[in-house]
Amino acid sequence: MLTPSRDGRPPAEDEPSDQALVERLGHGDPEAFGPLVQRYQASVYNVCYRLLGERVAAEDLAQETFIRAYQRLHHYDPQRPFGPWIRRIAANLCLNHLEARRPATLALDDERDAPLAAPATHDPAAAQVRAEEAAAVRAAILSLPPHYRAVIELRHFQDLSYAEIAATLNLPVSDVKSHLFRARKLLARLLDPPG
Amino acid sequence: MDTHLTDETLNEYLDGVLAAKQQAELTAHLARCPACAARLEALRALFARLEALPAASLNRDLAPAVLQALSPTQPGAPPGVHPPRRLLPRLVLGVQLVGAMLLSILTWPFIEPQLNRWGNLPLPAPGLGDLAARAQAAWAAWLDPLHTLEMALTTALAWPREIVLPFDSRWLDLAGLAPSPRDAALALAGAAALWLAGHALLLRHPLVRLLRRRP
Ligand SMILES: [Zn+2]
Repeated sequence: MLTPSRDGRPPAEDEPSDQALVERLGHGDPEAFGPLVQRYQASVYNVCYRLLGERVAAEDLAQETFIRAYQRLHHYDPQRPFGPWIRRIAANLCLNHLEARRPATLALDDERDAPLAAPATHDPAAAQVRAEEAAAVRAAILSLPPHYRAVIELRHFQDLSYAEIAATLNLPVSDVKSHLFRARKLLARLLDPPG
Repeated sequence: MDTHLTDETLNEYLDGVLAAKQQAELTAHLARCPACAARLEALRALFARLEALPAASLNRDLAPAVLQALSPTQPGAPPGVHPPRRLLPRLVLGVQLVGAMLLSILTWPFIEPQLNRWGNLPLPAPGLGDLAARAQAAWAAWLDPLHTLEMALTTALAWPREIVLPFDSRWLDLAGLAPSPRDAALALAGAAALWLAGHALLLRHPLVRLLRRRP
């Protein structure tokens, strides 16, 4: 099982940096892409899983994200970190995927997946509570319309600014803000029903 | 009492984009308004729940499939590293063009009398005669050093002159081929020139590539 991480696994001391690997790709060494995939696949997969809610679809889209990134490597600025760049590609790809297959089907098999995501513990009751909480949050995100899901993903899980989200989704900043605030209102209503 | 804080203000506050002045106003309002303070806390709790969502585990390594998917379409470097892959076709194109031009020059003396025979027709453009004369002069200049070389070789190696080099027109007569060797050479060289030019220019034309891609 691969280390789950929101930010991707940073290279160890003796491993080449992201920039070194990208440079090797630039010199026509496609094998250098393998370590980059392994470094970021867990975080890219998590972007896709949060947005799609289905494990198999998330794996497929994560794979597609890396292929797309490879083909668009000339757009990547090596001065900037690789992880945020590829996670933005993943978010966009998932959003396109969601919009293409509208109306989105809500994946309710999440509850079954969720226990895998909960950290190991010796207290089964606490683990159960955590798993249920994670499943509830995932289900709430998945109940949002695709664009709302995307802004929640980019703001809360990728820590992008309004302007960066606007650039990523090709939307005006005013739309980003209204989507984001509206999405939060919907999430709050779903997770904390009044009364 | 002043108006309550808007949802937008609360959101922007937690997103850290409020200007210092607005933030001071917000803090002052929160201090005396429990309702807005509660709204802010609810929003903050939502942020915390999103933040606490654990990462899901990926159960397989995607790298082999990704590299596999990339290998058939991208045999070498990724896009953006095109120059090395495009150098060879360009070189071939260049060689083909030079070859075609060379063949045209070489065949010109055979074509030129033919053109002269049609010279009475209004077909050839004005100035073609000039061009032909210049080409013939060039051809003659081209033959001179070849003759010298041929002589040198003949003398040095004591080979029968006829089989050393085919640049003397007498060689064509001696060959005694049927149909006339001149016609054969003309046809062969012309066909070669056409083939080279056609292959280099036509088959590489974007339109032709498009047609080949969608049969
Ligand atoms: Zn208030």
